[in-house]
Amino acid sequence: MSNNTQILKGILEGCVLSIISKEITYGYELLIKLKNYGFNDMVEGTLYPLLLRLEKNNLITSEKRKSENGMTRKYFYLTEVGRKELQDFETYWDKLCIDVNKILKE
Amino acid sequence: MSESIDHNKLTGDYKTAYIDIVCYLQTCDISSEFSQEVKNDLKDMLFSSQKDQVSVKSIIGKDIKHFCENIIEPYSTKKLKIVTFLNSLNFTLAVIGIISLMSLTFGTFKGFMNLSVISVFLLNWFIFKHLLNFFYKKLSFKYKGLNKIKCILFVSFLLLFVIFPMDFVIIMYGTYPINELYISIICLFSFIVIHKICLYLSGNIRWYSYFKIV
Repeated sequence: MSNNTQILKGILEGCVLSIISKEITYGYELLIKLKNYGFNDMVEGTLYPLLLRLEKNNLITSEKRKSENGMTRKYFYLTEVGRKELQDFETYWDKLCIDVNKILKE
Repeated sequence: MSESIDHNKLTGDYKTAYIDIVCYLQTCDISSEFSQEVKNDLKDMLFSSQKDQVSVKSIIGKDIKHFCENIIEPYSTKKLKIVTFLNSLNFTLAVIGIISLMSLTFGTFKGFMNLSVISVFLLNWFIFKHLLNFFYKKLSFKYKGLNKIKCILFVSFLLLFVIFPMDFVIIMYGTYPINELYISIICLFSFIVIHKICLYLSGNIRWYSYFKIV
């Protein structure tokens, strides 16, 4: 697919919520985790604006702590709204996978 | 600086990217708190990526301008743009009001201030700042390093060449004396009206917050 950015943006949002739901994390760590999961090119330049948007929409919230390099670092965790959004994403994703697979394997 | 690490510890592309972002944010209509928060977050992310030898592209992508626009998009609302403009206007009004009030108290201009003084102040302080921001925002990502400084200087000098003749005309022909008491009252009244508008639009503005954005 030549232009899959819009599809991937929605998926990335769900994946970010899922990672944060498992463990409180910070921006750079999240980037590395996503890269390790294989989201290499996709996260380039999109993760930080996405985190800001999720925070603004009250899906995640942050807590400031001192990092090992002495800087103030924001650690993100899920809000109740975020938890609900993640559940909706999981339901939607499961259904989407089944429906798409049905079509592809027909 | 409150942080124990400053951006000077970022090197090469990491430092260039950080400076580009900071320069861009300074020209945007966003709150200073949000701007500071973004600077801190990105400094931390860039510093970590530099430490791990992860490319700058991983953090900001291929297009730094697009990255910055994505960051400020949800925050740079029309309402905030109006509030920022009014903040700047209120600061200018406050300065003119204070100058005329002090002049009235100490008799510097014998009770009357020339319209040209106020006009020149408004033109040079208020309009120049906004014009400079406008052009700098358009050009800032086109140049890097020393060329960026050259670009700022060029735009500044170009604007000065446009504004100085206007100043000259105003000084020559705008010699209309205005009672300093009236100026103070008008400035104070305008300040209060604008403050009320800002309060209505933003909700969390204090009267002294206008003096923070210079």
